[in-house]
Formats: sequence, C-alpha cells, structure tokens
Amino acid sequence: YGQAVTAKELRVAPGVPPAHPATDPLYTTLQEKLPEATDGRLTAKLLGPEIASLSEMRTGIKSGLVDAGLFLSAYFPADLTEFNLVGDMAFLGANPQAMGAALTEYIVTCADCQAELKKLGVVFTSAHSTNIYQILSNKPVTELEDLKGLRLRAGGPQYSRWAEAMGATPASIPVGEQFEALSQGVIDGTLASTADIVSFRLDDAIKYVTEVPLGTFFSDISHAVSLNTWKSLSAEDRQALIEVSSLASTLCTDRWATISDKGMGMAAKAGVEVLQPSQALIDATQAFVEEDLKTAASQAGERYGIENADAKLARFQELVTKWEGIAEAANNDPAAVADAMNSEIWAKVDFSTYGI
Amino acid sequence: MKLLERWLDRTAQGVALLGALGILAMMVHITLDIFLRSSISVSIPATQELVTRYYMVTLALLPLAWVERKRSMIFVEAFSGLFGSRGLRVVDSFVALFSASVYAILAVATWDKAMEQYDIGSYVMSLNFPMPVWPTYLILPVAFGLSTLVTLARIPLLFTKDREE
Amino acid sequence: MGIEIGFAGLALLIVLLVVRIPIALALISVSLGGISLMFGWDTAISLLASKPYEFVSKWTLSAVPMFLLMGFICYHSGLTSGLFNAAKVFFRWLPGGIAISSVFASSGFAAVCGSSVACAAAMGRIAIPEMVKSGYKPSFACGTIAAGGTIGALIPPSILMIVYGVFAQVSITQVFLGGITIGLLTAISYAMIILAVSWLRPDIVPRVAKDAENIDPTRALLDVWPVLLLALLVFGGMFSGFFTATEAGAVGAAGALLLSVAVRKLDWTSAKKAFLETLATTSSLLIIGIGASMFTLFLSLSGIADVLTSAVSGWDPSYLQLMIVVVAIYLVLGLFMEPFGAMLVTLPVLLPIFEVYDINLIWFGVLLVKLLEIGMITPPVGMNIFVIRGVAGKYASLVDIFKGVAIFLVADLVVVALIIGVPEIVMVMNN
Ligand code: NA
Ligand code: NA
Repeated sequence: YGQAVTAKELRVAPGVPPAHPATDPLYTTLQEKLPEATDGRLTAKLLGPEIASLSEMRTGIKSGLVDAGLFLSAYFPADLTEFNLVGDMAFLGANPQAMGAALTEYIVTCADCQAELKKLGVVFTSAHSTNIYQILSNKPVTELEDLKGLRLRAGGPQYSRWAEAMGATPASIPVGEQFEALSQGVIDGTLASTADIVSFRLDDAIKYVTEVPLGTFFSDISHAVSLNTWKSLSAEDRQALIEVSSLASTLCTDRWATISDKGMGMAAKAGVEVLQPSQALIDATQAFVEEDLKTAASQAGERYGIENADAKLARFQELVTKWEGIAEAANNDPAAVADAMNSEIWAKVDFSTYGI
Repeated sequence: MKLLERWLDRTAQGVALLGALGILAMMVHITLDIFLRSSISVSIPATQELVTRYYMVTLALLPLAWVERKRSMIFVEAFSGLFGSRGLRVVDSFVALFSASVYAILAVATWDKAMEQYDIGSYVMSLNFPMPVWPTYLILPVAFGLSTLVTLARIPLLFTKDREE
Repeated sequence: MGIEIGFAGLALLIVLLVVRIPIALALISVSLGGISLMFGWDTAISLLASKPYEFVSKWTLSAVPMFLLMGFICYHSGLTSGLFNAAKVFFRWLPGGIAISSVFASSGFAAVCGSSVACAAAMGRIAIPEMVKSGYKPSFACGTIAAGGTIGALIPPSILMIVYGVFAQVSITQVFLGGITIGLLTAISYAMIILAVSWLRPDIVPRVAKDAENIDPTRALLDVWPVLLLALLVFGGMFSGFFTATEAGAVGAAGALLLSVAVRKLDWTSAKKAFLETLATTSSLLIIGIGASMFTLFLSLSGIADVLTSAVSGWDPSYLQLMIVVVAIYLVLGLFMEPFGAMLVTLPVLLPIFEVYDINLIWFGVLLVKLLEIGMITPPVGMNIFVIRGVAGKYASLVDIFKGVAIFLVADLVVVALIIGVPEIVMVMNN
C-alpha cells in the first residue's frame, strides 16, 4: 500500500486525562475516523496532558509541538476577544447540541474572529458544549433569598455577574481545588454541570443540586489546528478533517449529557437532595440574561474596543435559535446534527482559502 | 573588575530584597483575604491571579541571580572528590561557563515571549475583571539575564584566587 | 529515533550531574537539546520560553514558600526550645530519656515545619549539647537529631508532599493525612531504637541522665503554648473549613510572625534571616521543578517512558517485586541526590508504571517521602547530616555522625516494610 508511505501523522492533544469526555470521544473519534476520511493520508497520535495541558495549549500549538489541540478561549482572553464576546454568553445555552453548532457557524462566518484566529496562528474547526450548569451546593437553594451572601465558585465572567446580580458572592477558585474548597466549606457551592460530580467526586462534597438552568460552557475550539499544519494540508484533507471534527464535537456534547446523568445517579446514591427552584428565581435569572446582553455589549466596546458588539450578539442569538430548531428536529442525535453542520456551515466554505 | 563585582553584589541584593517583599506581600495578602472573607464575607479582588502571576513569579525567579551569587544552587556534591583541588577549579570554570550559556539562552527566549505578551497586552479574567499579566513576563528575562552575568563573573574570580594562594 | 535520544539524554544528564552542573540547569539543558533534536530548535526554544512561567505560576505551589517561612520563623525565634523542655517532662524518666524527648520534640515541631533540614537544624542546636552534657556519646546524639529531623517532612505540613501532590495530581490533604501516621510510627520506632541501645550499650546511651536538671513541669508546658497555638491555628483552621491546605501556609507564617513578635523572641536580624532563607530555598527548589517539568516533557516525547513502562509490564513483576525495585531505586538515588531532584527526575518514569499497576498514588506519596527522607541520612550526601555538622560540628565529625545515625536506618527499613506490607496503615486517617 503506497498510502502508508505518504501518511502524515498529526500530533493531537486533548489537554485532559483519558477518562474526560474531551479525550473520549472528542479525540478518540478523530484518531479513529481521520484515516478513513482521508484514505489513509492523515493519521492522529494522541499526546497526553503531561505533554500539553489545557493551560499550556497555546504554547503547545504555537511551538509546533501540537498539530491540533483542544483550545479553551477563556484561558487566553487577550488573543480571542471577538471569540469570547459570544463564547462568554454561557446563559444563552439551553440546548447543548445547538450551542456547539451555533458557535461553529458564528465563528466561521465572523470576519473579525477569523482575523484574530489567524493572528494567533490557529484554525477554528468546530465547537462542542457541556451539559446544562446548575447550582451544586452544601446549603439548600430554592428561593432568591437563599442565594444572598452565599459564596459560589463562578467559572467565567458571566457566572460571576449572575452571582452578583442574585446577591451571592462569586469566588474564583481553580477547578482542581473545587472539591477541597467545597468539602471544607471555604465555598458554599459551585456553578457547574452535574458531570463534575463524576470528574471531581463532588458527591462527597455537596448536599444539594438545585435544578435551575444556568446555561452551558461552549467557548472552545474542539480541534484547534496549527496554522502551519493547516497550510500543509490539501483542501480535500482540510474538509475531511473538519467534518470529522464536527462529528467528534457532537459526540462529545452527547457524552457530557450521559455523564451528567451518571453524576445525578451518584449524587442520589450519596444522599444528595435535588431541589426545584422557585418561579421567582427562574424569573430573576431570565431577567438577568436579558439585561446582561447589554452589559456584555457595552463592556466589550469599552474594554476591548470591539465594534458593533450588540449587533454581533444579536446575530449569535439568531444562530442559537436557528440551531435549537435543527437540534430539536434531529432529536439531538449527534450524527444528524453533525450532518446538518456539514450542509449548513461547511458546504458554504472554500477550503482552499479558509483559515489562511 | 572590582566595580563590576560591587555592582553585581548590589544588584543581587536588590533582587533578593524584591523577592523577600514578594514573600511578605503574598503572606499578608492571602491571610487578609481569609480573614476578611470569614469575618465580613468580603474577598480581596484577584487574589488568586496576584498570587500566581505576580508574587510567585517574582519570588521564585527574580532572586535567581542572588542564589547563584551566594552559590546556593543545588548540585550533586558526591563526586567532587574525584577531581582534586586543581581539577575542581577547572570543573568549576566549566560549570560557570555552562550555566552562563543556559541562562543566556533562557534570557533571550523569555525576552521574546515577554515581547509577544506585551504586544497582545495579555490579561486573565479574574471573575469579571480583566487583570493585566503581561508585565510579569518581563521578570523572566531580567532574572535570567542577571544570572548570566553573575555566573560569567565567576570565571575570572576562580583564577584570581588561584594566584593569591 | 526518539528512544535513542531519550536514553542518550539520561546518560548525558548523569555526566552533567557528576561534573557538578546545578541539577536544574542539567535538566533544562538536556531537555532543550533532546527536544530540539526531535522537533527542531524553534519548537524547543518556544517550549523553553514558556515552561518557567507556566510552572511557577501555580496556586498550589504558593504553599511552598509559606510553609518554609513558618518553619524558619519558628526556628529563628527559638519557639523550639520550649517544645524540647515539654517533651522532657514526659520522657526524661525513660532510659535514654533526653534522646527520646528530642525525637518527640522533633515530631511536635514537624507540625509547624515544612522540611526535614529545618527541623534537624532547629532541634540540633538545643538538644545535642544537652545530650552530650548528660553523658551521651556525641556521635549518637548527633545521629538521633539527624534522624529525628526526617520526621519534619513526614508529619504535615510537608513541602515534599506538596510538590509530589502537584506533580502526581493527587489531593495534598490526603497525602498529609497519610503522613501523620507514618511520621508518628517513625518517631515510635526511633524511640524503640534508643531504648534498645540504652539497654545494650549504656556507654553510648546512659540509662539515667547525669547532671539531671530540674524542670518545672508547669513552666515547661507553659513554654510550649506558642507552638501549640500555631499548630492549632493551622490544623484547626484547615479542618474546620476556614481555609484550604494551600492557604494554610500563609496563615501559619503570619501566625508564627505575630506570635514570635508577641513573645518578644524575634528581632529584626532573625526575621531578615528567616525571610532570606525562605527565599533561597524556594528559588533553588522551584528552578529544579522547572527543569524537572521540562525533563518530563522530554522523556514523554522521546517515548522512553512508554518503553520502560512496557518493559516492566513485559517482565510483569508482582506487586512485591515492583516495590522492591522502587525501594532499591530510591535508596540508591538517595545516596547521592537531594530529595526534590530524586523525586522529580523519577516520577515521570514511575507514575505511568503505577497507573498500569493501579497503585494508590496517595499511599505511594507517603512511601516516597519516607524513602527520600532515608536519603537525607545516608552517606555520602545526606543533607540532614550536613546540617547537624553545621550546627553541632564541635561534637562530632561527618563520619562520626554517619556512624551515629546508621542504627536508625534499621528502624526506617522496618517502617518501609510495614508501609508496603500493610498499606492500610497509611490510609487509616483517610478512612
Ligand atoms: Na512537617
Ligand atoms: Na544520602
């Protein structure tokens, strides 16, 4: 087979341990499907987090060590202000499959985003989303008043603004310290997906889960490809890589939901109580989200000099609505959503110039 | 030569002083943060970012030239007996030259990194506040650059002592 | 090709260490050279430019300078002599009572001291002269303190455990809890050695101390309150949820500073010394950490870790065989290397192997620290021995101190055997 001789091996890095959904299925899918999608011209070799962790991914990709890696834009805000304008809007997330696809369509068609990505030296492929965030706490929260004075870990600027709007105190705590901070009572709760109960064994550290929908985390590039590597690929292989990436992203989003369910199971076993929020709490959160779109737009203009921020946010909202329709029609089936991404987004892209 | 020595001593003590201030500031800052949050539920903003990006980088890396100056770098002493006193002096000059080269490479590499971070004006999000971190990248080329000078300055000294004996 | 480069790198590292290149710079230069051979100079330099910053700017690592500072302040303000007197109240009636007291005073001081060297230095200055005066053989007196000092790294807080926790990505609090049992077990085993020597060789350890001074038990116990208060502040605050293990160091250091100023035992000169010693230790330690993280990267990229892992899996040793190999590795490395270097150089290779064997990394952290601490008292490079030589040099030569400490190695090996044979001991406090 002549193909084996010309096969190019990409060094790919999920930046997280093997058990994490960002490794399996996000990167294992890539590793498995890339060779068949490119007739054996591309293969992938997985690098572990000891070689490139999430916080080291910028260095890993820019140094040429990593050909493609999971890039969380929140770690590198100065490089990706346009990206984060919409990426930080966690609370818009109600349907996880819709969020990954909506962010993908937005970034691919946003010229300012593409410009900053090019300057950074990475090419955007697709995005995925976690499951819905909720309140995981060791004090009961059902009413708005219950939140007053509570110290809550907030993993992003919008979560921090929400906590403050609700009268709680947002705390900035490294995710690895979350368990210790919760079990020792340094914080009263954390705003997270119940998948964290599995990943960080939080079932021993919390007493309550309040099922108030707090959006999702979707501000990522599932497989950020180094610009140099991207340039070395044929247009045909670029398209194949991106289509595999889209499928891997929808599978990863789906896996997050499975793990969140597992987390709820573990919580139930550990005697964690599931609470329903009062209508007042849900309404206050809704009101916050609407008001916060204005805050985010004005801050983006003042702080980072982003132009037309409100128009950009409005456009992203439209895309979210559009993809919510598609995802629901597809019953959130990963393969169907990935197919829709191919026809709605990638079919309109010229791969001889995209990203370059 | 004497002048250079004195300048190096001063500078080494200067960076040590800054490092010690870094330790003091970190201690006061973390303690105060704990005290305020458990008494009146107030957190000092950006504690985690200041500790990791400012205090830690200052106190861990800036004093390197001072540590080299007082010869406190940890090395394996076990085989020193192999070389004899004259051989040891040759070995020590090699070590000084080798160390200076490694520090010089580090200084140049981290300088480029610092310039890149300066250009993008890098910051991290501390809750809802963009906290600038680009200035801290400048600490590295300074630390490694001074260490280069300190280790280089050791070489002539090794042979001056030789003559005095 | 990567594997050949990996092995060449290991060999070159040994050569550089032999010719006295600082451990940190040896690790950095070998990694730089190796990575640039495999991936090109630009990639290697780009990684080198980022690693130092990425390594030191970690929240957990901030505990290292803080716990060091706490220990150095206690030492320089003489809070330790109170502990020694209090221990004597309880143990001086035993044969070899002063030595046993010094071992338990070391264990008490360990609760506010992060490192073994600081612990040995602090106790050595007060306990060795007194033992010699009471008729102990000087080499044995020095050996007792050198060995007793190792408890400083076993009973939390412990810098070695913090650095291990950061590298192995395990809960530092849980490793700390394991260290309490093994630290106390070590203290008891040392006390039994002292009792035995006193019984067999009264010429080395007098059964009854001569020139026995009168200790007023009330006063002695009163003198100990600053240290007790400090330990209470640190552990009480940590376990009742006021702060995390990482933050505990800062509270402890601030507490030690305030307390020693309050009891008027800290002047400007000794405060300055405490800060500068903290600075020198932190800086020389973290630069090794940077080197070790580069070296980890180099070894992983070269594929050498995979080769060693599959070699061990292919040989398929039993748990016991694997443990014997691990103990042998650290005892040999411990002869020459200081503990941080030995730990950081070996973890990249060993951790993947342990993953295959499903070994509890909290348990291993405690075993590792115990093994590394043995290296602190074995010739030719034993940091604790050097420190004792520094603070009590007029009583014994280096060789004498090594002779005096040798008998305690028997106790250490028994403790190691217990940790491996009955792993549950380590996990008692965790369950
Ligand atoms: Na200790
Ligand atoms: Na040794």
